[in-house]
Amino acid sequence: MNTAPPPIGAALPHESAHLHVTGEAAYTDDLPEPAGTLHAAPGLSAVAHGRIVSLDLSAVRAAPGVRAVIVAADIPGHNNCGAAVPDDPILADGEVSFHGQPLFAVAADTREQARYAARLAKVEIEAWPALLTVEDALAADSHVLPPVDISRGDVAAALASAPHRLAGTLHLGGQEHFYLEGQVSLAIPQEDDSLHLVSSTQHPTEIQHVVAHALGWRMHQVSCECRRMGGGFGGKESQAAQWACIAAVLARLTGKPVKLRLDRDDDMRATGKRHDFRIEYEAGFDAAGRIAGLKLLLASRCGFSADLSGPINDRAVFHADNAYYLDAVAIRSLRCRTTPYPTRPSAALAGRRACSPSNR
Amino acid sequence: MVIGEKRGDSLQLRAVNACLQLLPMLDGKALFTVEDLAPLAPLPGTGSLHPLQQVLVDGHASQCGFCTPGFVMSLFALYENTPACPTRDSVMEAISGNLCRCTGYRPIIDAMPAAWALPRVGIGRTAVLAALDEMAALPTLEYRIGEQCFIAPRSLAELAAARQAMPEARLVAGATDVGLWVTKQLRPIHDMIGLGAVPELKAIHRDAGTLAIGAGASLTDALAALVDFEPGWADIARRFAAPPIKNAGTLGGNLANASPIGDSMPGLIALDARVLLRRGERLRRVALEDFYTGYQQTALEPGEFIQALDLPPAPAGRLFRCWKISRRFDQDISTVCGAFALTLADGHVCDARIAFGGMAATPRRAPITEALLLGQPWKADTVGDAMAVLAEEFTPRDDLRASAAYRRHVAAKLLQRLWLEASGVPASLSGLEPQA
Repeated sequence: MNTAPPPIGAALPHESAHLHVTGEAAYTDDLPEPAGTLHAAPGLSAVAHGRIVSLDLSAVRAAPGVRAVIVAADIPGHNNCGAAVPDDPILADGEVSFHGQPLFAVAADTREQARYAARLAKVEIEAWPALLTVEDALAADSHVLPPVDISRGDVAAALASAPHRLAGTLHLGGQEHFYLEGQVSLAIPQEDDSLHLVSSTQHPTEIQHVVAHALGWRMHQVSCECRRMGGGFGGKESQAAQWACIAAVLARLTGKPVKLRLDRDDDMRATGKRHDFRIEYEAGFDAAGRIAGLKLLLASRCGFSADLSGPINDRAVFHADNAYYLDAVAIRSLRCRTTPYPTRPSAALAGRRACSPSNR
Repeated sequence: MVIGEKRGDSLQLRAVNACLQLLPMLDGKALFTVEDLAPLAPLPGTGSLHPLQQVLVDGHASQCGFCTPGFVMSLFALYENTPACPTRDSVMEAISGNLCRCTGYRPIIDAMPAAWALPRVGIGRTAVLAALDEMAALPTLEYRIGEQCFIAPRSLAELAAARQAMPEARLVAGATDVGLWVTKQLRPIHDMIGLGAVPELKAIHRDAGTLAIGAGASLTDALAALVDFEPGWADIARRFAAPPIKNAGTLGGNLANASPIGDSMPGLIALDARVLLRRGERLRRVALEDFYTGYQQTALEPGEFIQALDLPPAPAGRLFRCWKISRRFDQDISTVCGAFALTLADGHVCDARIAFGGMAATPRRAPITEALLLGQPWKADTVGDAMAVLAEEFTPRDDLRASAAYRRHVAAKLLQRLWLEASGVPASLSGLEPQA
């Protein structure tokens, strides 16, 4: 029987610390690759918004070591990797919605061969105007989700009768998640139409779900495992799915294990960032600083797809009053559709950021 | 990882970036990776750890752990190389090339003094030196893979002959840039001549006020010699790059790379440096400012290479400063790099050499500003006039790092900084003491 006192209040070391410091902690890319593993690389769009006029992949297919090349039409199930809202194509289909969007993917004998081949595509895209900023999207009335309004009391009256008024605009910048281990997935075909995925992800269940849909399979045909991640920070919650889906489709097509480890530059180009916000505020208050009324507009740059923009912006709304009780408050949340890149949740979602205006 | 080489009779250990080392560059060297540390523990084989590893565990210095092996090795190089517990500043400098995203740097920095409080362990240097001697006796490396070959001459004469025989081959010293051509640009690099095994190229001589630095001297060694020669190099020496890059990269590589934002060139041009070029037996000297003929173009002829760099003696009364302006303090590329060498006599400017990186397609002098300063009294009015001229002297580019207007503004402001510093006014943040 264990008679040691319970370790409450004791500083316990990280369960993997002794493995981290000796280099023995294995991340997805460190695991032994099954014999015959192919390596995948995506071909990315150099245009932010437009129509794919032609996608000539003959040089890609002919490159040394190439075993398979896929485009949107080769995805056997649903061409979607958006778990919350199904509006995120795995591979662009007809239209390009952001700079760095995957257009096709290659599987080759080595990672270098796949990356090399992916650069040989002849891509013609008719460029359309792009909405790059929140302001662009507001001017174009472009949204990924309808506006949300939440209010209490009569804000107009409270502002009108307040002895003092203050109004202004804040910009909170976006951010690259910068997980030190980049996106990586290894898809290993199993017996009887099933697949095991090793993925660096914060949400293995969601990967299982989205990959099964992409393959046109039932969920029990896909399993997903993540022993440890080299950082995620929200950037491997929903968006690990895209790379898992590509690896899985290529694995199913070739019957071989397929690993997709994004090059860091491709990772930064192709993956979403933290939402940036434009916040407009108008407050009425008395000489003691007590807030009589607060009107807020929270407008965020959501990229081209909704992903988790709903919960993130809702969190911003719910936290906007911070620790204060406001008698009269009106908050409007706009989730703006833009075309630079998709945006994704980042650690702590938007709560802390939304506190900014009420702390001013 | 940490590379061990024999320098004189002792073992030199230096951290480098594993991802930028080409395999044949490691020939003849000792290589230490994170797996080599636990066996140095006081009780190896019992699960005990090297003191640095133990204190990182005890100090909660890892969270996701992905960056940890890199930090361990940067700290290990510093631990092995210093006879006493390093200062907080030197720990910060040692890890300036390592990024942590989740843990935070404080517990990592604290690990060094904590490790010093434990019984000291060290690698068996005698055995490593013996192994290095054994490898040195092996024939010159000629590494072939497919159609590609990498040769590593062992002397200047061998190098000169190889360079003439293979004028198309790529000279590779530290591969801090060539490594990225491979990993990022997937550029085919055919035959290569490695410079790492040519001892003459690493030599640094200080003689009768002059300084000569071999083209193969690491940036770590070259910058230390430059600071020793002229203390105004200190800012550049600290901020040129993180130690693993300075340990791998060479001064000759920085010069030959001919980047318009190479950080060694402005200071060297201001100090009237000359490059010594060799082709076979033929030697010629070219003023560094004439060495750059266009964007990433140099005066090197086919079969020619940089052997060394010479600096003339410093005139009495010389005021020299060189500063790097970049978006981040550590690990960043210059937006503007400015160097000023003014010789003052009787309160007048009797010589002026001003050179900039990041302001043109090549590292370039500012002759109009220099002419305006020449012969003038060294005072605020003169500096103000010169700043106005300097702000208009270049037509830099707008790019991701800065606008052209910002670059012109900063270039002129650096002259003001020179004036303030020369007048004893602290003018740079890094020179200010933190306020209590």
